[in-house]
Amino acid sequence: MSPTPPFPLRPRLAEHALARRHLVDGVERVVIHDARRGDLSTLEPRAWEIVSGADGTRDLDGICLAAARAGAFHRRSEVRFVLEALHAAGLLADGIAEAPPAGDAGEARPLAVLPGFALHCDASGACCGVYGTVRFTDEEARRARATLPTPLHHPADARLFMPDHGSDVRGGALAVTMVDGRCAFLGEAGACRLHAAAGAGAKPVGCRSFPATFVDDGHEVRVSVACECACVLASAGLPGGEPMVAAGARCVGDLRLTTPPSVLPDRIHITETATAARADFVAWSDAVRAALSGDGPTDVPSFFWALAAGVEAGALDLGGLDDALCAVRPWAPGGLGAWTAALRTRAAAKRVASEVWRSPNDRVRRMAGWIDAAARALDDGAADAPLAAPGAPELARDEAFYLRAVLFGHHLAGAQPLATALRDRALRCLLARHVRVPSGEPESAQRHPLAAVEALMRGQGMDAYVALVAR
Amino acid sequence: MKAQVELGLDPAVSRDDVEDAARAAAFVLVNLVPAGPAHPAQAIFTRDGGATVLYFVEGAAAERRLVISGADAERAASDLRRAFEGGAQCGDVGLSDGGAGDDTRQDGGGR
Repeated sequence: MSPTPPFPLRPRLAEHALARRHLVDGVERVVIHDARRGDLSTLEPRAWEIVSGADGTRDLDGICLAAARAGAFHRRSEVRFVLEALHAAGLLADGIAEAPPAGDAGEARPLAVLPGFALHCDASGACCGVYGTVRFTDEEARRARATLPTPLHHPADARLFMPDHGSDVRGGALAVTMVDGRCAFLGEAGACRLHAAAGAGAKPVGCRSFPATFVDDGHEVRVSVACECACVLASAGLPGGEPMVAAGARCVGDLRLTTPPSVLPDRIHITETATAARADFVAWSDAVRAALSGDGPTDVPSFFWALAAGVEAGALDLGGLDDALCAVRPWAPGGLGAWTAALRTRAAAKRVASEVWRSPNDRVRRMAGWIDAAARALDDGAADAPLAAPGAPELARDEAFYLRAVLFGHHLAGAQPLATALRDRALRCLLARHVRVPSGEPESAQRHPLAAVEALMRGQGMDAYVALVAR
Repeated sequence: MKAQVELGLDPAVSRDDVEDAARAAAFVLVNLVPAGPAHPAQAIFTRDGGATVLYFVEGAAAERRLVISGADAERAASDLRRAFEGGAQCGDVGLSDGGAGDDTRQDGGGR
């Protein structure tokens, strides 16, 4: 274990520290998520006023003076205590943040949109209450404030937006306050109040483009969907619906995105020790997708798992694809127990953490309870073959669509090596099979539990369980 | 002419005690001056829109004191004494009156 670095001379919140303001049953509090470790710290609003002065330009005395100007200063020792606690949690950096490198905007890159999909949004606002962050640009935030100056009807209206990363709000992306886990601008009936007041254009681009994902593979930008909302899974195969990109959009520049598409790196980690060229990864991904029959493989989790084994055994050689496609139940893959145990640990921690600070009215807290119960059931059953098959035809259809969306959208190329990402996706499908959404919840949530799993994985940091897998 | 009051500080009075008392007496921190060759470190507070200034001089034990200046220095000193007396952390004050300057004596009865 590396020793703790010295206390920063001019501290600021590190880039992986995501501070979010919440109203929890009417009480204001600030939560700092550690995007690297998945931990969280909670602060009283006054402590946040102290921390927000730590922007990398001020020493301790300067932070005290900034806190005094904000009306938050009591004691120098308290300022030091708050900052030292964050430092001990690994959440501080020293000096001003470096500007991110200006990437190739790729405005002319053509779009490739997931075929055969259009969204049927049920306008319930469910997706506006499951994410840790609803992101605005500075301009979008100013426009939202002008449209609805006091969405909270609370003193926290004066502090509606927080920095998206770190502690500096100048020029960067902003995160809006959440009210019992829901976006501050979400109305009680589930409709966006910005949209209702001033049209769809008043919403942040991220909300307007949800649930589309944009990944630049060096040749084209793949537009796929995140299966994090029940509406997405319910839309699969339905005619009509809202297209993923506006009619006539042909290239990235037509989309007017405020955050550029993520770009696949030139070399992609396919295992812990091996990499492959981006073009080879794209070819592999497309070949796997092309090999799928109309209904997809017999069993999607086993397909993911078998693909992982194939990648580990022979890089991106497609020789094992037929075997993977033919994987049949009953299925009891080796090493699964380590994954289900890690998932169980993380899910339990997520539930406990949610119960500590989230309102019972917060959907994330309820979802964390479902996922925790499912993870325990999955782990308890992992030693027994066969694992439960999808309990309903809808779940099997969801899994098949999910597989296509993930492959088409290059979602498997991310922070984890490809083989790890494939096993992770297998676990997510298995977990969803064990999720029992209570009858009082929306029917769409009950019918499409994979959406809850996906939302908590990416939107709430549940995916950090992968780091806990004993290898 | 502005008044000035000096209050000596018992060694048992901590910086936290001073900051608590300053806050209780409605002073707001406005500046922190590090020690220099010619002067000790100081924390400077104001109230009354800046008309009354509190200097917490943090030198060696003999130099630690509060200096209150401004037209309302007497009342501010009185508020600070009360704050120290009421402070949970500092018990029975630990504050000693460092004596008033000439300005205070001249100004004191005039209000």
